[in-house]
Amino acid sequence: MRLIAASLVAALLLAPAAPAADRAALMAQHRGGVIRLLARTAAGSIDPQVNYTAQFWQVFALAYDGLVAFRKVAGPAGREIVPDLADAVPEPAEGGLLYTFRLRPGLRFSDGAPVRASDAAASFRRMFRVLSPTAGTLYGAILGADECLRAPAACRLVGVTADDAAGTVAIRLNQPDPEFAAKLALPHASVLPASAPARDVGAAPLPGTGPYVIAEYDPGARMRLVRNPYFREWSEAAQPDGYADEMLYEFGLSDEAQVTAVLNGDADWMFDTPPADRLGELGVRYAGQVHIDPAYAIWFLPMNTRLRPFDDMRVRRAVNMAIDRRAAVKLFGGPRLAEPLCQALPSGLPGYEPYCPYPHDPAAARRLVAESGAASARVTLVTDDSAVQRAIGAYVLGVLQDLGLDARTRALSANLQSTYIQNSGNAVQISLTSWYADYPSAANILVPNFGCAAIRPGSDASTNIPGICDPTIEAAFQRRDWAAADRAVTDLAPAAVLFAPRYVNVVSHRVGGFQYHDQYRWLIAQAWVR
Amino acid sequence: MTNTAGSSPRPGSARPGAFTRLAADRGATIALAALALIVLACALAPLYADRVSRTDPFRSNPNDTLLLGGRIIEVVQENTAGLGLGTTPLGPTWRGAYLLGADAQGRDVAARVLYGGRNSLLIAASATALCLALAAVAGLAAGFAGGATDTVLAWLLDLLWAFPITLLAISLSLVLLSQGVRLGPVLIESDSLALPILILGVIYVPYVARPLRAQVRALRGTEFVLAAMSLGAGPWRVLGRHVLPHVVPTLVGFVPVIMALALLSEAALSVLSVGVQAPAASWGTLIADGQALLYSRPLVAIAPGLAVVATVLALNVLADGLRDAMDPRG
Repeated sequence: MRLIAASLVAALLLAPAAPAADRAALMAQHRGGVIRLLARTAAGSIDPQVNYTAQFWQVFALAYDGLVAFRKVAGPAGREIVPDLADAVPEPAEGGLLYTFRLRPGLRFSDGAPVRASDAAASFRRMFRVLSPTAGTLYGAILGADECLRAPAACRLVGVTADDAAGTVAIRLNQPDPEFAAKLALPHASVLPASAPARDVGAAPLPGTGPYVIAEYDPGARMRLVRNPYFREWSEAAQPDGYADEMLYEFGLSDEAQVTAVLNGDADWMFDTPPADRLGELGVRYAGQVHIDPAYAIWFLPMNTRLRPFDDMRVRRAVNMAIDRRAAVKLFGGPRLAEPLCQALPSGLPGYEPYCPYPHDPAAARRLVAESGAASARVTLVTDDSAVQRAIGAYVLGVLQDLGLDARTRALSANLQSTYIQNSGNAVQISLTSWYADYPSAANILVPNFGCAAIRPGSDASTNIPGICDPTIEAAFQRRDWAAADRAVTDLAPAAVLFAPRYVNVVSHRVGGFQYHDQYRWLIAQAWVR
Repeated sequence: MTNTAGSSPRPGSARPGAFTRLAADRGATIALAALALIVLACALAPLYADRVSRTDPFRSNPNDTLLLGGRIIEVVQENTAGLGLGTTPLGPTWRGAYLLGADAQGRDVAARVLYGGRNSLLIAASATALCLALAAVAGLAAGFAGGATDTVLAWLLDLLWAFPITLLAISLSLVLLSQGVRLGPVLIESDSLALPILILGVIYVPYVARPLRAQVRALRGTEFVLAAMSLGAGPWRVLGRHVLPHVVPTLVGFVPVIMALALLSEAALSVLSVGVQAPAASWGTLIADGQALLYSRPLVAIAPGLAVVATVLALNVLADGLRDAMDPRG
């Protein structure tokens, strides 16, 4: 009998995901405990409308909700948009210009205050008032957004109206946006109390609606999440209750120390990628605790199409042909951690069709450079100072020199490099960077990186780093033909895409019910600790 | 008999027997031989890379292959066991190519240690020369001129001395590495070796200039200097003929000390990525490269680390020997 019971418990513990029917039993079995998380550093502000990091977006999914959410299950089903604080996902009216949501009844914030439609409307205004990093890029289609972007403090956002009596929120767009519902599921569109200050709250948590509430946050030491006493599960799909009673997120350990802590069971998960020289050991001795998951991201070398020598497409194509993507993958950690890629869209995204017109051919690449007359042109590759970027930068430097270019590298602090390379005033010719999609979408990779609208001369937030603005690409964007857009981008070679990375999640032996979500990464609340 | 302006007492270093004493010091002799060997090995780095390892130590090529034991193997191997995570560079072959193995980018560690040593030694030696030159000027001027000159220079030296040395070096590096530095018409670019030379040459000036200033002040009151001045010798002549020769042994004694300090500081700055900049390498940058492989290929970091230890040890033993040999009471 004891053996049978033990087997049953073991089977439950090892279950990769909990089917709905078993969830109540699992909850009864595993509810409680503390999940201990680690990261090298904190990720800054815990204002969900300000922070723009994958690290804290994962946390915000535990504490905040929007009108809609991605279904919180692993696999492709997790890309479905489901109603969250709203009772349904509305079909847009008036030719895709009007979305009308009705809030579920009885919702409360973690301070006990009721959630009203006016809170939702105020949250959209606040997004612009606090200069949310995606206010313009993702929510610029809301009527009145232009005025709000110009004068944030006086933002009225006429396109968003609320009726507290009816519990409805209407959002009017100035042009249809087929991905608008997905954008409403992001943390920047979280519903907060209307009383939330119109400034970045930094380390002071705002009341939320999720199953957990941030009880303590010290960016230099830890974050503690405890159960939200006012949370009642209203949708298992959008915001299921969590197993653990508490989550303790500690900051300050090196990657090496984090791995050791997780393997020893002193912590349950680490945010950072494990150091390269521990990967072999992890894959062999701790294979059961390692999960390799898609990242929907690209690492690439944007080439400034407006500066010599990359204003000549032959030079850009030559770089694409000279790069041995397998070498870059090796420097990143090997083929299980990254997939070689020479097109803009990584596999798994809508519109992805394998396409690579640039076979590895250094001799042909050298001929192209010679034909272009760019040989001996001085080129500076700008990387950041992380170990991986430096390693890949050193490899690319050799490739550029082999092409006959007078190449050199410049490593900038990782805090600065990303914005530095975006600013056209810095005249960066070629750089190494990465783009992780805000949500699993082809548009979210192609449009910001290669769309005309993403060029902002002289700005640190000009995400189209190559500065390419091409009618063929734009036409494909308009048709939402992402495969065609991807091919057009690849043919024009404004960048040399190197690979699509994957995430490595290492969990302790205490963790059960690990599920990976394309948007929220590890669904922490849906796992338990033994 | 009182010395005249033309004949001041001979300083200790120049008295017969100093070199003989140094040569008789077994420790100093071994240290000198070890230093000579290290310098020679580093000087021959291109020959080693070309004839022995037959690799380009600066070219990143993780897809390179090597014929070893009749088998062609990749210099950076993809792990295949278990989940197949990560890559592992080749370990020591204990023969010509990849004698000490490869780093994460497939480069020959032994060749890089030799090349890195060239830059480390060049930076340490140049920084030492710069430091001693600046310290000599500051020490002689402050000690000999006295008055306001002494006050201002002493204040400047104290100011420099007040900073923790490593923090000062890091701060200077961080500032200068972003844009380089312009000295009049000369622009030192951010990736130039001249930058760490300049930084290390400046930060140690107070350590030499302060004792030098005290020595010059003492010399200024000695009878032979006073005699020379009373006989009408100008300050430049007094400094050059009567003070400087007595100061030179002190400066010589500082050479190995400052060089050892500069070598360690360069390594520390490079480990923190604010010293020598890629694609140039130094022992410090090699240690930094090896940090990511401490668990699987520790030799990548240990080899340059041992080179730093051996060189600094040799310099310190030599410094002791030099001090003993030049000690007038010895």
